Amino acid sequence: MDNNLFEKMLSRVQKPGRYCGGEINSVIKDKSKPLIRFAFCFPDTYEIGMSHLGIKILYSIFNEREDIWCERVFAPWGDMEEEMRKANVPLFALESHDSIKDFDFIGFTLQYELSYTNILYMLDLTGVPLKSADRGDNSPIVVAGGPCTANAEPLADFIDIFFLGEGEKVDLEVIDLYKKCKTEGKTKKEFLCEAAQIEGVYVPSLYDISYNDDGTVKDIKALSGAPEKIVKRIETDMDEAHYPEKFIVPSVEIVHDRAVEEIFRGCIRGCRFCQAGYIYRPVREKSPEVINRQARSLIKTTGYDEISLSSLSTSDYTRLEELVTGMLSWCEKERVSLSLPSLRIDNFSKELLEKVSSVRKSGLTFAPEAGTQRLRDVINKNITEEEIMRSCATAFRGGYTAVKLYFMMGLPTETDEDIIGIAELSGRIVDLYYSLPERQKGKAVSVTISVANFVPKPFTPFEFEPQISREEMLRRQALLKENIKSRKITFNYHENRTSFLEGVFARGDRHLCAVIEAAYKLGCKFDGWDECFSLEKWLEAFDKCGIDPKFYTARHREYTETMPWDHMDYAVDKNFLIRENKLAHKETTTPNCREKCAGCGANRFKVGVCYEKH
Amino acid sequence: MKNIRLFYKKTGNAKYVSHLDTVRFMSRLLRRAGLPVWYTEGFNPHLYITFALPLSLGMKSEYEIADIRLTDDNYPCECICELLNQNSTPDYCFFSAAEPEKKLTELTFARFVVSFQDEGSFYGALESFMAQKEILVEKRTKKGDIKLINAAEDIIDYEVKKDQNTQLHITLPAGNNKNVNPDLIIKKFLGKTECFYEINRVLLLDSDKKPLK
Ligand code: SF4
Repeated sequence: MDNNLFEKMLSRVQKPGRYCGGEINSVIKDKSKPLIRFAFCFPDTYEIGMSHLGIKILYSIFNEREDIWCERVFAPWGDMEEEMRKANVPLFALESHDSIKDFDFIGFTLQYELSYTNILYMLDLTGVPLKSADRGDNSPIVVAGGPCTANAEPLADFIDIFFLGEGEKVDLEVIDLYKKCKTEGKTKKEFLCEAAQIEGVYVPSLYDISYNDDGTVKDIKALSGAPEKIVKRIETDMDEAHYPEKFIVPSVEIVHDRAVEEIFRGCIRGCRFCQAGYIYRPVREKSPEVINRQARSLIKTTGYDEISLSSLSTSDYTRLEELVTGMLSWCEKERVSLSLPSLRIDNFSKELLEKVSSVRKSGLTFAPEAGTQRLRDVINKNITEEEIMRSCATAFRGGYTAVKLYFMMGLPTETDEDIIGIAELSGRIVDLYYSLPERQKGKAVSVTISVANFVPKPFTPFEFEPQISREEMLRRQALLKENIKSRKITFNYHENRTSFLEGVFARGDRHLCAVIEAAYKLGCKFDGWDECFSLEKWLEAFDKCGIDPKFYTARHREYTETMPWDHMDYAVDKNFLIRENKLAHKETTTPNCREKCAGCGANRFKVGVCYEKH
Repeated sequence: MKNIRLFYKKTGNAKYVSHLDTVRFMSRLLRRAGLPVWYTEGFNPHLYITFALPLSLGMKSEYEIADIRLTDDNYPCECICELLNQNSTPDYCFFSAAEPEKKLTELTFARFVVSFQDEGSFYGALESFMAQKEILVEKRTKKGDIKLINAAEDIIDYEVKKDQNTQLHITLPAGNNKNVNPDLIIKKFLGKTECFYEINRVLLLDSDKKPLK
């Protein structure tokens, strides 16, 4: 792009630093050499996308290969879009400032359903046809990966290839095949058919979906020799898995502006509402030695003074005490602060706790998720009130005065009693504080409760459950508010009109492709941003396409129903999900993977927690 | 402990990096370079670094100053620039590191070069505009309200030049006591005319109008 033009555009937008590139550790390659050009697109702003770990891992893997140049692309904010459209500048990559229209691959990461319109927005700004079928042999191949591929059917019309599971290896296998097909002069269709044979690759155009009269899926038929079931990919040895030695250090502040070291994948807990707890199975840990080595390298190459350990549940790392002691020994010397997010404090030594900055800074947090033990048993959240009280008491005695509690609303079987239970539990924590003679004198306690709306997700035991309506959600929120008696309790809630939409897409089918396109044409984008989201426009889009969104949210699904995502295989058996759903209705908990294997099916990978000695 | 003054240029994309982000950038750069930098003491220790004068977003500069302290008195100054440049991007380029001669508070003036993309068409108009006795501009006070000031009185010296484009070379009061942003004058001159221009802060000067060192 002409540099003069670029500067002119930047001089007229807010936060121009988002669009510049050239940060420390970003990769520039020599364009005169033959390169596979890969545009890694994050369908949200720079500040959000740059905070994401997956993009850093894949960026590093791709660019380590001499024959690939992977560059970053984020969704331009409205002011920049306006400048680009005025100047006829198509979407460009941050590193080269080249238009991505002529790249070999455009890759999206699907982190949340509310980013779907931004994918269309970015394709549109690039200047390629939105639909896979309309993009010819010379258009870039559009690929996507990330947690939403668990059910990517609402995007089936737009994406050529989905990657299931962890992308480290499958992405490169597809690129290698692409190179081979290109030299052999194969068509896009021929390439896609061959790609479908690679494990973890889902080519939606090779599956024919038929529907029953009531709108449910009748049959899913694989075409052109594509596999009946697409099995997700995983890294089998975390110590050997690629991890970046360097992170790009952004020049403008991003949401999570620190080094991040992944310590394990998966989660042993099996909370029944949590998709991440199922689709990343089985748990696979990195060893403390490798974590220490990788973390030190990151600190050295970035200059960050903060490192955070990343996993779904830090406390479940088997050698946590050893790891943290080892890390603190060099972190202190190098003035690096260590944060351990989502830490349970029950079985962690107090001295160690004090040294860990995240706890120091943000105070105590708990996620009981539900207000009564009954409902906690339903959702398999194995945390008891006694444990919460015990941890709070320890913390209050140690001088803490603030507690944050996270809950969900709209969970299966939830009654008014469970809602009131949230208020009562919070009240008992306030009472506990004042009952302790050792509390901090002269200081008031503060209990903050945050309530998220429950959205049923595929590959969880609750994939069969209806989602409650917005009206009912509002009623329950009001009920909770009414029942909060103490002024020491702050209740944070979101009206959350977006969770309805999230619910539609989470369990949606291919009919929704038309709705997403219609919504985009009506101006929907950045749906995850309150200031951009318009429920009215979305409802108009549903209306235009003759689709009732409640079909996807409000309905109870039978165990026998063919789900739109039934051809995806995330290694958790449907029978296991059905078993867990029945147990939930019996208010019966399931032990975690380390206590007793529940036979979910993920042991077929022959690695990780399923083969640990307990 | 030894005080070190770093001199650097902030150009290219770095002009879109705010002052706060520049502070973060420099701290990380110093850590990457592995210099024995001094940290403040107390409850929340942080890397000590202090800047002569923040640069507005969108401006580039050829003469930026940041002071740091090194814990090692014998650390050789000659290596510092090279070490920093190796760990920096070309947008932040260090050209000198030395023990300070004057205090940062002696900063009194700044010199700017404003380049218009006008193909020389502004030359005459800019000359007569600058020759006025009164150039009233709106200035935001520290309290946040808007005040009218006569910027003509504040101009220390200026020169209008032309090669392909028109350029304004101007020296204005800078620093804590009095600070005038050239952008106020340019905006006033342009009024509703749309024209792309770039402001380059080329020097920071002490009270003798010598480069602050
Ligand atoms: S097979 Fe058993 S141990 Fe392995 S992930 Fe599933 S439930 Fe856990």
